[in-house]
Amino acid sequence: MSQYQLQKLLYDFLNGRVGAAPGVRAGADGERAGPDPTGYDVTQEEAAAASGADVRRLYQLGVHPVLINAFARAMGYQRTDYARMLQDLEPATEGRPRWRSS
Amino acid sequence: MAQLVGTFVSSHAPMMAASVESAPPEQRRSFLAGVEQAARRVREQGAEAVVICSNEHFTNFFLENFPQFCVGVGASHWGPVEPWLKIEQNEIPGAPELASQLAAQLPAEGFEPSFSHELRLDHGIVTIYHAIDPSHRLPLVPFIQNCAVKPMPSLRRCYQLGQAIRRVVEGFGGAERVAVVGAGGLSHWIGVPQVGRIDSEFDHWFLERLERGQLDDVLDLPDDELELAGNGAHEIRSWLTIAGLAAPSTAKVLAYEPITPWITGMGVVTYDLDPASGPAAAKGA
Repeated sequence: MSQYQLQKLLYDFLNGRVGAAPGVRAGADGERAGPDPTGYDVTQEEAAAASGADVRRLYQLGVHPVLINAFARAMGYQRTDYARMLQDLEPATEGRPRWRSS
Repeated sequence: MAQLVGTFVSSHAPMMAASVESAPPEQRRSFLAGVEQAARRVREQGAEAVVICSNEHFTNFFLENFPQFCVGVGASHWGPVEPWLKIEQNEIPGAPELASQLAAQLPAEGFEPSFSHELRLDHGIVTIYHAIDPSHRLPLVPFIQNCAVKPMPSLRRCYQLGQAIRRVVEGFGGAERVAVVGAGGLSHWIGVPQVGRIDSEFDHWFLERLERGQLDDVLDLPDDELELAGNGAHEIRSWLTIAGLAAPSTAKVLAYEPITPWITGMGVVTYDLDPASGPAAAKGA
């Protein structure tokens, strides 16, 4: 259940505006600064990963990859940045698909 | 009744707008020339509206209610949602009569898409729409497909959806010429450790089958096998929707480039439709 709530927090952050939606924390300049886990049924670890924009941990916690990508971009990471954060987490998917010639 | 014009499919990637120059010059010239050639056909053939089939990126829907298909029936659609895309954010005109025809008639064809008066647009649709009409005046029907969240509609189901869309659009009396376009794929990985990889072998295998019109082994691909070409490869659903719409016509490949800085196999195909032999004619036969 909390994995769903964690993903909902990120979705609300990505689609919300400061003061107009839950899940959005304002920065000193009043702009959208990061996710605010207040009111979401998430664990302390999940809250910390979201608040700290810890993309690697969010991936390990099971956040959907499309949300990972959008969240990383919204927090100012380039794909090369988060690729480095994730690169040692798992080997490339194994298998021999029908289109592989060798 | 409406005639289908300018049918094509293109890969999309945010970087094709936001960071064009990041691609090697020869690759970006080749791909973008293909996109422009396809888009110019839509303009020259006088499309009065365009339906763009593309995938959802958690832009409109979350897991509390995630439709497999959704038609945008609104009078306009706001986008792109990405402020960094380098495409002006604005209200893009809708084509509510055509969209409502799709929502109303597809159930009789065996499909029940959801519908929304408030769809927002992201790079998935806007990059290709902008190529077709940089002035953003051409009425647009966004047709959203689930290509990311399991369970997804099967590849064969998406192909059959294209056949159904053709029958509905060709039965539409509110325009003389309508373009139906696909946007998404090809191979890529997104939000996972393999991000940045491209499976050119898959892309060529897939494009060859589109050219030959021999799609059975593609349509039978289980999702786990398709995912070996990347979790983004699920977006070939939009390509197969257009392949179904165009059948028995087969694809002509205008461009293919595996553009690593854009993390995607970037392809463009067009179709020349034979109005006498499409699904509409076949159903009436």
